[in-house]
Parts: sequence; C-alpha cells; structure tokens
Amino acid sequence: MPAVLFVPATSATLVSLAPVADPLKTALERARAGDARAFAALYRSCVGRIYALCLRLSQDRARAETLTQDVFVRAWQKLDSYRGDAVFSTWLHRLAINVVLQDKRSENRRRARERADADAAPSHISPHGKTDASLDLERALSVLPERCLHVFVLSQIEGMRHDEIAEALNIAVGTSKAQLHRARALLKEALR
Amino acid sequence: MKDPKLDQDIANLPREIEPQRDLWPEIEARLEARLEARLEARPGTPADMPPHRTPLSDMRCRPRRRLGGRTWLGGSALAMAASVLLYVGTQQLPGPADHAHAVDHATEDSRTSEAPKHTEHIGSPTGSIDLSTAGTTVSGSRGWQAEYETAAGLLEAIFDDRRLALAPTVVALMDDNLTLVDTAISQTRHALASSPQDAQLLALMHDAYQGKLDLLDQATSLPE
Repeated sequence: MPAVLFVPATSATLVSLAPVADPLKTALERARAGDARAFAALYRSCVGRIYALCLRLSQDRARAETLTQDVFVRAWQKLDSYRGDAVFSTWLHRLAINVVLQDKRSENRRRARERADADAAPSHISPHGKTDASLDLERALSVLPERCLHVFVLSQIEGMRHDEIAEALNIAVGTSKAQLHRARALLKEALR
Repeated sequence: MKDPKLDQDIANLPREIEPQRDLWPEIEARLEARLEARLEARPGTPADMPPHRTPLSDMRCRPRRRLGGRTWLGGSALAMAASVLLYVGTQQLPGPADHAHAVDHATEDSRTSEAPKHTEHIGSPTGSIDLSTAGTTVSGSRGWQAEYETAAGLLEAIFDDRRLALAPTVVALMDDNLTLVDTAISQTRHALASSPQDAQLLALMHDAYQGKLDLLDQATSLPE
C-alpha cells in the first residue's frame, strides 16, 4: 500500500487564496480620504451609467454632459455622507436621479419665467453604435411627455419600484403607474 | 400592458453610454474652483496658504469647512441682497425709506439732488422702497431690476446648492412659489412694455421682486 503523503499548505498557497482587495472599494476609501485621483478612477468606472441616465432623463446631450458633471461634483462633496450601507454605484445613481429631477424643476421655473422668449431647440439625443431596435426606442423616448418619460426611464430602464419613483418625483404611486401605462402605450404607438 | 417586443427593446437598451468627450477635466476644474471660492470666502485664511496652491485633495480632508463655507456664502449673499435693496432704495430711487441707513442716504439725496421735487410714493407692503421719478419708467427701472435679478440669482444659486439637503416636498413647494413669482414678474414686465409710465405696474414689479427675494431668503434659511 502506497504511503499517503500529507502536503501541508505553504505560505505561497495561503497568499494565492487570500481575497483580492476590491479595487472599487479601495478607490472609494482613498477618495473619501481626499485622493482626487482615486475619485477620478471612480468617475471612470461609473460615468457610463450616470451619463446614460442623465441623457435619457434630459433628452439633451449637452445638458446631460453638464448634469453628469453636476452629479460627480455633488458626489465629491457628499462622499462623507456615504456610509457604505448601499453599493456605491446605487448611492451614486440615486444622487444622480435627484440632481437631474431637481435641475428639471429649476428649468421648468426658468421656462415659466421666460415663456415669452423662444426656447432653444434641444440637441436631442442621436445615439450611435446601437442596434436598430434600441435606436428606435431611444428616439421614441423623446416624444414622451416629461412626466411619462421620467417614470418610464426610472421604472423600465433603471428598475425602480413605483413607490420609489413616487417619492423621487413627488407624485402618488397610482400616478406613477398610470404614467407608465401611458408611456408604454405612446411608445408602442410610436414604434408601430 | 403586455408587449413582448417593447419589453425586448427595453432589455436591449444599453445600460451605459459613454459621453462623446471626457468630462473629467471640467469636473476637476469645478472642484478646484469651489475650493478656491471657499477658501477665499473664509475669513482668516492664513496669508501663507495661497488658496490657488491648495491641492484638490485638501478639499476632502476638511469636511466641516464645507458647511461653514456654505453658511458664510449664504450670509454673504443675503448681505449683498440687502445691499442691493439699500442701493435701490437710496441711490436709484431716492426718497424716504424705513431702513435707517436708507433714511440717512435719502435725506442726503434730498439735499443734494436736483431731481424734481415731485416724489410719488408707491408703497410696497414693506414700504421699503419709494419710487421717485428717477425710476418710474421702464428705462429708469432697468437698473434696479438688474440689481434685483443679481441678488435673486445669488440666492437661487445657494438654494440650488441646498436642494439635496432639503425635503423634496419643501423643495417642490418652494419651486411652485418661485414659479408663481416669476410668472408675476414676467407678466408685469410685458405690461410695462406697453405702459412704461404706469406707476402701479412699477410698484407691482417692485413687490414681485421683493417677494421673490423674501421667498429665496426663506429657502436659503431653512434648516437642513
């Protein structure tokens, strides 16, 4: 009978089994400590999703760029309030929704004030590098009324629940559901 | 409403879209600018610490200063708004005013000005501004309207900065009220375009602007 050899774990084996530090978490900790380069790394990892949200909610490319910048400036200011009880990207995402919606309220006030003046035509989104179907839907979003658009994007693309949307938009849950129903009907018509 | 094709299209939408240009340099510049503004606004900044040399990373190392800076900025803007009102009341629209300093200036003005003695007092609710002939036309009122706009713009910037810290219902209420005031200002401006000498319209315009400043004053004073 061959001898059973017991092979003890070497230090090399233990090192290879040690958990690899989460680079995002590391960058976050360094950013909270004041490291701007670490915050730039966070920006690089999250900008695509934040810009997509800003673009879809604003339907204006230039505005979306400004809003994206606003989101990251706010995030830098508020990093201390991030307690780590949610995933950072989720926290940033909620912050972005607030920034966009509050900007929209400000814009509506400005428009009411300048109603007599001709509104500049927004540079509507014309995404590229996508499939025809997603391109069509992306374009169709621009025909939705503002409230419908917000509810649709938050619900169908961002995956928020109606109670969360209702709180963010300061509307009733029933209104959120009704707006979603209307948005889907309008999109279905537009895509026919 | 079930629609498999629409659901499929939604599922196919990309979750990420890259901006067509790099936004980071502008973000970094804004962070630097805010830091500079905060340090310049902060009384007692040591002379041997030039704000423009302070590294960006320092901004995040002193979180308490952010609140102080903002509070100071709010006070500064309020002081500026008050100065604007004082200026409006005493320089461009000379006459008696409730504010002690305004009274002093107005008295001085009445001694030195060669403006017509006819002074029509168009009372605002606070009676703080008196419309003399100097500002009772559209062209004459443009100056104080611009000053009001400047003061309101400053307070609006502070309010915008505090939006995320306030309850959404409070922010929405403030927005609704500001929309009403802005509408009133816009309508009065249009009316003045066809009746530039209408003293009551000018008084309404003043009241609307004053109301806007009062509202923004409240908005910037609300506890977070």
